Amino acid sequence: MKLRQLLVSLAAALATAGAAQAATFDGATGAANVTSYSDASNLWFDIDFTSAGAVTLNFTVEAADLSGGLNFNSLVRNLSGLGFDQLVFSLSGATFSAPGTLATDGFQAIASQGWNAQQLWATFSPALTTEFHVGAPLGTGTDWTLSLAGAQVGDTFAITAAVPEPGAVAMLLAGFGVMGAMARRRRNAA
Amino acid sequence: MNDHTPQPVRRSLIKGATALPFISALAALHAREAMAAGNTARIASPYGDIVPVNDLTTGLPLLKLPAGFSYKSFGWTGDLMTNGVACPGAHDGMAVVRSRRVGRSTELVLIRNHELGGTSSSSFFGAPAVYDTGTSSSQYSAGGNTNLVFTDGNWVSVAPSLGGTRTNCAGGPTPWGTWLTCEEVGSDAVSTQGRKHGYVFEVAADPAQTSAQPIVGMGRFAHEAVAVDPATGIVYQSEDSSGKSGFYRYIPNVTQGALGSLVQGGTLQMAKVVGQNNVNVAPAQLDQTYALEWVTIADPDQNRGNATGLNGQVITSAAGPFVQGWQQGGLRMNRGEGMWYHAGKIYLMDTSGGTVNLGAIWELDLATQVMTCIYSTSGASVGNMGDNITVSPRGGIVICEDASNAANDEFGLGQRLMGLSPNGDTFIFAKNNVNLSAAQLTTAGKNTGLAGNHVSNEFAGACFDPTGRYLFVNIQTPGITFAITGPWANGTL
Repeated sequence: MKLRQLLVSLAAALATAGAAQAATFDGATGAANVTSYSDASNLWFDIDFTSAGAVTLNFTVEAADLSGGLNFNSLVRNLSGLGFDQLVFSLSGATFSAPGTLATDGFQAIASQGWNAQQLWATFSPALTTEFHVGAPLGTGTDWTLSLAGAQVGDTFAITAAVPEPGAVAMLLAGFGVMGAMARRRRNAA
Repeated sequence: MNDHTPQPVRRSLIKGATALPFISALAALHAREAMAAGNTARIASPYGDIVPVNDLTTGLPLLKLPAGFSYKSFGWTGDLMTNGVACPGAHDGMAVVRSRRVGRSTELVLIRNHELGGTSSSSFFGAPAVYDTGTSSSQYSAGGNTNLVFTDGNWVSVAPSLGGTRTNCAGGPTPWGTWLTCEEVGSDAVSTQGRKHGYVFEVAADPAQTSAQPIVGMGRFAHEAVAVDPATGIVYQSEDSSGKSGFYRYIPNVTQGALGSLVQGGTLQMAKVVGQNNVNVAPAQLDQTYALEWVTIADPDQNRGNATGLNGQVITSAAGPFVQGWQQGGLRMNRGEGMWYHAGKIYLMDTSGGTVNLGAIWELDLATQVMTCIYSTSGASVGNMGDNITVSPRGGIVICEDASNAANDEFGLGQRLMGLSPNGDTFIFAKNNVNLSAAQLTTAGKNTGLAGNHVSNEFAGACFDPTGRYLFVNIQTPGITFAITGPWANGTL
């Protein structure tokens, strides 16, 4: 584990001292089976897709002012028998504050990838039929950092993992391109 | 998961309009011709045409596969195993015997046969369990098993488990997580250590738990494959002895299976057609059915001999169990090969059966004890002496071809992995493309002694993991194991 991750974990642990969880996992709804391996400072999930679609993981904030954020990783298994051209993780009520790694098990390559505060995404070639690793679910790589800055106890947030329909991939990529361009313009303006 | 239980092609081609979009005009014509002849037809693959695809492990184009499929090779002949000994060759039957979670990882254990006969070496490739340390005709027994570990989509290790056996051809997984390995030996020879061959052995997922104890009660003959009925614990068995192959089952005394339970004894029986004596089921036609009953074999370890059937037909030099079954009116097939259990049915390939002696598949309904011919090839292009078979978790049948003359079709010369659709038609899923130079092998870090054109060598040991994501399969020579994945749901496998 890298030093930065250790510090993040330590900060999260200190912030949640005396509290069992920074956030409570309230369950998932959608086209996948979800298993949580989360603890006080880590949001770790296995997501098993039995068909293409989307699954939303719902949470309630249990501790405020988590300035260090939470470690996030996910092991996505494609059990559908279909090839997934793309996977997108979207946040609602939270943001990605630092990127981690994205990887497959090597049977398929990541053709392109990207992220912003609300989403991370990857496309595959050939289409993904086995496993996709967001962060370091199997110990290799770096977890993503998820920020709950400004959140209050009792607030809710959600993580949605989605397999867009093939026709939607181009639109999503175009959308990411627009968002990227807007972000660049904002940075340039600043 | 959907259960696409195969149905005879004749019915399906009448009803199966949904399959027609996949059929090219030429293939549709062949289908109609084959249907008229009462045989299986070949259709265009629902996965698309096959092209050479590079191995993700070595970069070599070892297989022809449809678009979207990829693979990793492992456990080549000569690769060093975990004990530092070179991996034996002649990779044959295989199955995933254990799938478990280790933390968040998914670990699969496969057990693989090595169909080797004699050798001058007494090393038994360092296997922890050795059956026969003696020699026959000055040769040690070179066959046995290796166990492979595949974790999170990556090959991890290969280790020896059983040695001192001969010609381990196929076998079958048990519901309790072990592998039954079959010696394809039709001989009464006794080694210098007093050991006979032609038995079934049980191999454990943990090599150290393998006992090398023959299951004598399952019979001594040229075993090919087994398939276990999980509801009853009964083990069905095929025999690969040209023209004198019985179809057997073993009813164990201990029906709650566990490692070592089969060796505690049981009753061996041979199949007989109800109301008919000594039926030769080899010339099988599509949709043909037989109701089975079973006759008991008193001495499963009896030596070979001549058998006189209840119909008066004499078959010479048959295995002891066959002799006893034939004398009671048992049936015979040409050469029993691969077997697999799926959803209450046992599938059995007669590699020289069918109307043109190039293969037939019987589907035995375990509840009714009626077997139906669901595949009878009309020629090498449609199906070419299938050997090992498996059924995917989705219900699709994969056939490993092992013809003396490999098929030469629109994708070139080479042995094939065929799919059998739910409609009862075959299609080409993959093709052997192993044609390697010494320079290529050197670059890949492999034994240069494996160089050569191997496209005519058989596929064997096809099996899926429980999730149906990975198809594992061997090319027997030069001896390579593959893990293949792709969009299986685009077709019927």
